[in-house]
Amino acid sequence: MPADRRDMRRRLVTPEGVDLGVVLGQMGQRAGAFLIDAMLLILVLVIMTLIAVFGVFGVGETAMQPVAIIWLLGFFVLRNGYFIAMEMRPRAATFGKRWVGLRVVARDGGRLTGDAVIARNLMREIEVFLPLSFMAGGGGDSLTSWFGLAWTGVFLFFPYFNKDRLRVGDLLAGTWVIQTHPKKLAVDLSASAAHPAYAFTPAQLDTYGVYELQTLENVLRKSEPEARLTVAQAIIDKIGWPENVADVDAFLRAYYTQLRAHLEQGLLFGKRREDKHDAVAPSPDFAFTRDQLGVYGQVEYETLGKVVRSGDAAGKLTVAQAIINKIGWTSDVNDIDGFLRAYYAQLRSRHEAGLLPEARPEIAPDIAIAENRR
Amino acid sequence: MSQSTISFRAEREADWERLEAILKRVERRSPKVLDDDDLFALPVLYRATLSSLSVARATSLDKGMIDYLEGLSLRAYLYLYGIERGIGTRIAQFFLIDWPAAIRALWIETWVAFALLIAGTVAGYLLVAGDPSWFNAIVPGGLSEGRGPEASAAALKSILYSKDGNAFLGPFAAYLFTHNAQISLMCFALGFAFGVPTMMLVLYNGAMLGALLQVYVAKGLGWELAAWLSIHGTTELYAIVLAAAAGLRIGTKIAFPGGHARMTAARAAGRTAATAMVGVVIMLAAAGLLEGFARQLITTPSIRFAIGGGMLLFWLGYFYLLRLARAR
Repeated sequence: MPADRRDMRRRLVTPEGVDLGVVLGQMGQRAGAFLIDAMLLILVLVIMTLIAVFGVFGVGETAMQPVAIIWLLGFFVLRNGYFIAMEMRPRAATFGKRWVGLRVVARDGGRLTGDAVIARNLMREIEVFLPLSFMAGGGGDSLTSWFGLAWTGVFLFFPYFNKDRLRVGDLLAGTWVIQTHPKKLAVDLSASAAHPAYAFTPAQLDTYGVYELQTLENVLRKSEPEARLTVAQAIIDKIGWPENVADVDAFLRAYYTQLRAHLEQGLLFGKRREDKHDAVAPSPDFAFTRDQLGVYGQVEYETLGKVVRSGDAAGKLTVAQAIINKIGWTSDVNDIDGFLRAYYAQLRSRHEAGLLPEARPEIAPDIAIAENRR
Repeated sequence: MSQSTISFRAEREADWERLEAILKRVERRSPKVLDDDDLFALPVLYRATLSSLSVARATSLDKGMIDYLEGLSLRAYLYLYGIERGIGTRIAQFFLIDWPAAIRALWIETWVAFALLIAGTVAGYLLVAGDPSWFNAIVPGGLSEGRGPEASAAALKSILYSKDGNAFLGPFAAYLFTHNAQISLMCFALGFAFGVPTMMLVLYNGAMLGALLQVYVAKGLGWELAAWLSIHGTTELYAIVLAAAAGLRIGTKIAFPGGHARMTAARAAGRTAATAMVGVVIMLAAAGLLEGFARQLITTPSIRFAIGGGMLLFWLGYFYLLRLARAR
């Protein structure tokens, strides 16, 4: 889940220059929202039909004409207008989307205009109703309807074939569907009074990074006592806590509070320790020049991140050897992990400064850097 | 150190909660539910929250708080920048500017769709003229209602002037409208498949028209059929041509985006075409009324022609001349 969430994050920069980082809706959520809407529509239709039938029976023949007109127009308006009218409202979501926590926004972050909403919903004709009509027509020429079904399936499953999960309608309207998270402001876990029995040394706090801190936060907020016990045991083993822990919750809270304070202090000094694999402090043995860092790009940076976090010693050795050859590192490397972490950390500071090109620049590194700066 | 983030949070929490409360109210209803204080506070609170978010991201590791601020900022941003307001002005804008402009923008595609319709009509006419058995192949049995090549002139003529349906005109008109509108929406949406199914649909519609025309012309009733068709047909066929043009637009812009990026071209084409399609549905509603009522109630060919021709002139003037009138 966390990995998926990170992949589905997209930039949305406000005019004030803040990236709000929207998260795209997952396919399961969207299918669920559509099913809710479809059931709602069918329910309304059934009720409408029942009222029409009983109305005609009750009032007699004279009611036939107006009832028929209202039913026909009502069906049309419901089928074509429901999605459009709901998505034009301030919350830009149908009842189904609201229920699962989704909304429609313009991909460029601008206004969601009426024509865009209409465009994205008119395409439901070929995405939903066309496959349905082929399925319903299965009794006829079966080869034709199978072919038709396969053909229309391309439209139906279009979102699976692109990374932004765009429907055909989204593509044409310039929209996408994002998750809304109307979260309540959670209690600050570090607000409770400090627990004197559990005080940790800086070395014990250097064991973990931001990722572990936020995992711990999740555990504290949500999980069961058994899970807390497991996590507490893992921390005790890792930091080598000598004493017995009587109160697991207090221990975890104390560790959370102190780890957060420790890491936040780092933040104020411009050092964000991403996770336990991240270098604690700049290593004096491994300082790389700008040219040595300029030989790789964004793609290699991300691959290296995965390697550093993996437990694959042989893989690390291969990658370290490759880097050593590529950058022409002359000194001996005894600590493979330390070397990779240092190189990764220094690449990251370039990545954060926006200096990394997309992929490894094939031209001379200093030219690539100059190009990239421009 | 986390003492500072606690005070950071305590100092601002009230503002965040006020923004949340205001948003909750305006999202439910309209900006009118706010008093002046809240209305003026909304953008200020939004910016304050955005700034809180920036500070929190840089200095705090309280994920619960950062997530909350992200969600709140996004909600406020989308309310302030992400939606359109004023349904009245939007409708006026649609009728005065957007609709005719969208149709004008589709002029090349309109000519192509029109040419396809004519080509289909000619082909249908010639096929049935060469071999009457083609009629049944082109026109489905349900639609022909006994108007085949084998029907007598009297029977054919009676359909043009029948008034049987008069008792049920309203539902008939409603049925015609919803049926035609649904078909035209499908015809438009199919344009996404590079326009090919759309073109086939238009050709086929033309062929049906041509086949029917040939049957009546052969019996010397061509003029009267044309009058019968024209009263609603000028509007309906024009709407179908425009729906096909809108479909062709999206199909061709995806295949050949021209100087733009494919996504940009698709977006521009989709929005123009969607506006045109709303117009098409309105035209088909008018055609449904004409077909359901006027055609059944008016049986004089010359008046039928006059109404049909008048409607065509009206649409052409509205789409293509309105801008000239405004410019002058």
